[in-house]
Amino acid sequence: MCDDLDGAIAGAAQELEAVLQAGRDESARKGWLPQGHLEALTRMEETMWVDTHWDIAWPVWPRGLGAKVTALAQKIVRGAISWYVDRIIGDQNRHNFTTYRTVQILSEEVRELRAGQIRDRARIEALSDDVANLKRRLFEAQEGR
Amino acid sequence: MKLAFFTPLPPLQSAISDIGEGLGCAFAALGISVDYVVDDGYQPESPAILTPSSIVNHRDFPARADDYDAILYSLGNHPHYHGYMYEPLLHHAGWIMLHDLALYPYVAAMTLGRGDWRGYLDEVEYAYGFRDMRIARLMKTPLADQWALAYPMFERFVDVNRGVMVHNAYAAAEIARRRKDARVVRIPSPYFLPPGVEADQAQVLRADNRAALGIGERDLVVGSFGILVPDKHIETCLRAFKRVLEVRPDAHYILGGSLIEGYDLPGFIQAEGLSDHVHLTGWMPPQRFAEMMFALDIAIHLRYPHIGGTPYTPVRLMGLGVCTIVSDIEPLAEFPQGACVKIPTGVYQEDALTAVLAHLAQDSDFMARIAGNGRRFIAAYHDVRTIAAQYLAVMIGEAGAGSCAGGGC
Repeated sequence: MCDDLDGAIAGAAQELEAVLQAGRDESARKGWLPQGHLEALTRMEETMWVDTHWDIAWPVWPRGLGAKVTALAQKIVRGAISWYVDRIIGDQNRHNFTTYRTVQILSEEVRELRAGQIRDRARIEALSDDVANLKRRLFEAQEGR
Repeated sequence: MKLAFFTPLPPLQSAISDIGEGLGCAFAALGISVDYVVDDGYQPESPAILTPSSIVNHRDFPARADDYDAILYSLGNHPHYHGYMYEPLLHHAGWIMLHDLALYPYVAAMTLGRGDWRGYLDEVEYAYGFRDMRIARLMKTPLADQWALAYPMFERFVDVNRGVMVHNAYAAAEIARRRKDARVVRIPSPYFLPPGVEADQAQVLRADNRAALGIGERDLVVGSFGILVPDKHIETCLRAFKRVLEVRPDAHYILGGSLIEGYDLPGFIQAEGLSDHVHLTGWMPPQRFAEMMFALDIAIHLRYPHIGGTPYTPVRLMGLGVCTIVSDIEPLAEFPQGACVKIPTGVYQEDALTAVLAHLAQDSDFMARIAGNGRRFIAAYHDVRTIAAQYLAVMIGEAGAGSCAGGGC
């Protein structure tokens, strides 16, 4: 790549990194986790539990004899296969809960790391200012001598 | 040199058909005699490259196969556009210009889709060593795109052909990793404009296309182009755009392309209250599609998950000098941050996009710098004449240092 194009791209990339960092900081400011992450966690919570009992003809029976007979047949089939389905759903719910708990722990870990990162960045900036001040004072002292 | 070029062509609505036309023009300019081997059921509309004698129906190809010095298959994973080249790919060894890594939908359509269960299981066993329906089941899950990269199903095509040409290093490495003896060459995507587009009339095209949509000369125009699918995260783009309207109420968003069936983007636009600012063009023929891009200040082309191919639309947008925002994905690793804007995928995507878009909207100098870098980068590395020459060099056995085999990419 020719040098001036290289330089132009590198310069723009540096400025973009600052903009993207500002975006990440905005996410942090809003509650340490970005919006998409929070939404995903909420959706996971909402859908984590699978229920084996699907309502049939409840709280009211459907109108018409045919519909009532169909609903009754469905209730009987549901009861008859529950010994099989409940076991599978039980396994699924245990798995879902374990997954959710893992994601929750990792989220808390990420939150901690982000908070630490922001604290560290502030500390680095403060130290950089200190170093600049010390350099200036050293220079002034050397000049005075 | 006489080349048989299997490719869909306009008016088929596919980026690969546009690329076929663009490369065809460049091959012709290099003095290559090209026969376009095409499917039944449509008449190619590319007067710039086609003469009646240059079109060969795929059914006539086997009898003429020995007449060619090289065969080039432009292969994507859409069975409707590439189904006709399935049998030739397996029986007439040539070079494959592979646009996507994930060929499972293609292979499944050509076997299962025709009721050929035994053929499907043969292909699965050939590629992965088991003989059951587990991949078919995985493809019905919400993570189908990720599984499609785990089981790409390109193995037999790679094994029986002379070599594979891909557009990015990630795809080259993936093929080389799975097929150690394969000859894999990376050649960047070609940048070109469809015949009839007057690039030197950029200002006129910009003004005309804006006027056609009722957009002012100085308004900020953002856009996303191509077939509009959920994987392009258009809702995320529009939510970020809505935030930008707070600082630039004169902003507009052009959605240049067709919606896939069942994708209720108009409903989303209405629900977000963006109807006055968002313009849905629907499908446009290649020339009109490219001309509409001149109206843009900023283009957004997010893509995640990806299927290994280099998205073509950003190449054209960057080449036209539009400040282009893309997803930071493996197939775009060669596009440097600063020549375009690469934003992270996943949970940080929306906040990053909003921050970048707001910054660009308020700093037109910076936007122009990115746009200029992108244009120069594409001119330096993606010029269609250079790319066509690279394809030819590989096919006539003069690949040079760009080729690799045995995982060396």
